[in-house]
Amino acid sequence: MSRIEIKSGIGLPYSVILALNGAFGIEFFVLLEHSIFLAGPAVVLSLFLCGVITMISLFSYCELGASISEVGGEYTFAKVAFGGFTSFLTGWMRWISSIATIALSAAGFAHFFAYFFPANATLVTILLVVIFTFISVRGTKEIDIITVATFILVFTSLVIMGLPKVLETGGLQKFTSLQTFMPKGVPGVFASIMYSFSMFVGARAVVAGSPQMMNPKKDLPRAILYSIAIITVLYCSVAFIVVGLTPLNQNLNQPLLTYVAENVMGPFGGVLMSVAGLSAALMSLTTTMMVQRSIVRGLSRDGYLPSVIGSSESRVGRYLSVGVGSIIAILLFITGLIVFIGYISGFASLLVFALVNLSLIKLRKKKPRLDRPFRAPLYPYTPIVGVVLSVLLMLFVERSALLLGLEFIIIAIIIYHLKMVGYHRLRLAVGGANLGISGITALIAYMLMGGEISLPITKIFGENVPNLIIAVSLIFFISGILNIISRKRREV
Amino acid sequence: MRVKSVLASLVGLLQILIGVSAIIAAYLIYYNPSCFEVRTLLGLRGEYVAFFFLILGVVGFFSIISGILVIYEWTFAREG
Repeated sequence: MSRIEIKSGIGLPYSVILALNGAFGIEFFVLLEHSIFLAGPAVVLSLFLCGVITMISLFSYCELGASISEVGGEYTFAKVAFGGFTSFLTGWMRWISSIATIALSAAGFAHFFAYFFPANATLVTILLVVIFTFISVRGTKEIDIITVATFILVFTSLVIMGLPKVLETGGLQKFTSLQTFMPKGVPGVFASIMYSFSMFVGARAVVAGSPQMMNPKKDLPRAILYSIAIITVLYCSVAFIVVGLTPLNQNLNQPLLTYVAENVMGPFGGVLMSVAGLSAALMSLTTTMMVQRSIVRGLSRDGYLPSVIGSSESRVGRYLSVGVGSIIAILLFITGLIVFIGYISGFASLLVFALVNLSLIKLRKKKPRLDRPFRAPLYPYTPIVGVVLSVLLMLFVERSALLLGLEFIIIAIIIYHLKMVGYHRLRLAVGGANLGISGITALIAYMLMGGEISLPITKIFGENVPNLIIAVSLIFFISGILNIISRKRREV
Repeated sequence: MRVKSVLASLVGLLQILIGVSAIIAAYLIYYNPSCFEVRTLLGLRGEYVAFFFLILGVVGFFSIISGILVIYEWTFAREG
């Protein structure tokens, strides 16, 4: 039975759990340390502002999700509003963001798993992603409820028991002067907001589940708003305790939250927090798998991805819709660049936020009579503020992540145009480009042999470089011919 | 026709291999230069790193797409 069938007819309580499930993900466990590095004790302010900004932007999600409760989430909103490339870019970046979140979840799991069993955490984590790829197709309602409950319990305990310790140890002093509160000034706070953004945006995952809700028009906005309010209070409180009890600029040889939990609750606290971290990783995996499946099905439905990938009819299609992203996520996880993956996730999420807010503005003009059970308050200021803040925060993305984000956009442009030109013309275009590359490489080989230019790879391959380039030129030439002359029978 | 199919499969696989190698090289050059000391080995100057990353990335991606198309057209789509 598919997950979609299992979840049909879910009510408000489970909708809130779904939203919390997405929002309470592993991002907080994995990204908090670097956020504190960026902003210092002002991380509490960063997280509060993150919550406010997310709330503003999620008003647009609420309105659109309540009006258009179809498979595809943000992609479908943009499709109804703009269609064409904008909608494809929205779906594409949302998929990228989901993949980055799966990679982060895997990294978080490995982080906390190593607390118990230091050896082979990577292998176990890869196995976990594979297992959850299967579980996500079969349905995980019980896991959702248990993990959300665990998370709330552990964090509330940490705050209640940690507050007296913060007061005892003088941790409050860090918040009393501007210099200790904001050691890197306002830019540090902005950088921290950008980096922490993906801790909050998970609540939007519930939008992908709206087609299965009994009353999405009422329950979706409520689920999103309740969950954001809950996590903002919890995250700020936990960050306050963490900053209050942690010596700044000190390298810890264990996860930050585990260190603080041990400090507050003794060795049992470390175990409890590690279990919570593992639960958070599992939560993120289940929710993100569901989201990416919805997005992939939407993209596949409209022909941007092969139809077999998004088919809910065939078993292969159901597994492929989550399997493709999972494989990419595993590859990202293996690189071990957690901070970098965090930036990618943040960048893609912000871009999607901007596009969803723009979709709201466009739809209000394009379809003024659309049934809107929930209307974003203070329109048009809320979506405009959402767009401006998203774009502004994108400026604080690390340079390499920004470059990769732009490459993802270029790939999106290429895929979109490939779909537009059609298969026959595409082959001709690829064939022509192959011949062009073949000509250029042949010219490079000729100039190398004449000693007119030199290439860096000459240091490794020595005198074989011209022969190597001629071989590459030949391969591209034959490929070009094969692409151009392929069978006529199919084209008639 | 069978010869053409085999040739297409071979060329397609080689193109995919070239593409994957180019993307791995791009990754090593830009994100992980400490691995094999790749920048020193190639004698790459800092200001050209982004350029090589872009060229290798684009050519690699294109090469993979082209290889897949050739294999698909001459092997899997032939009975259609």
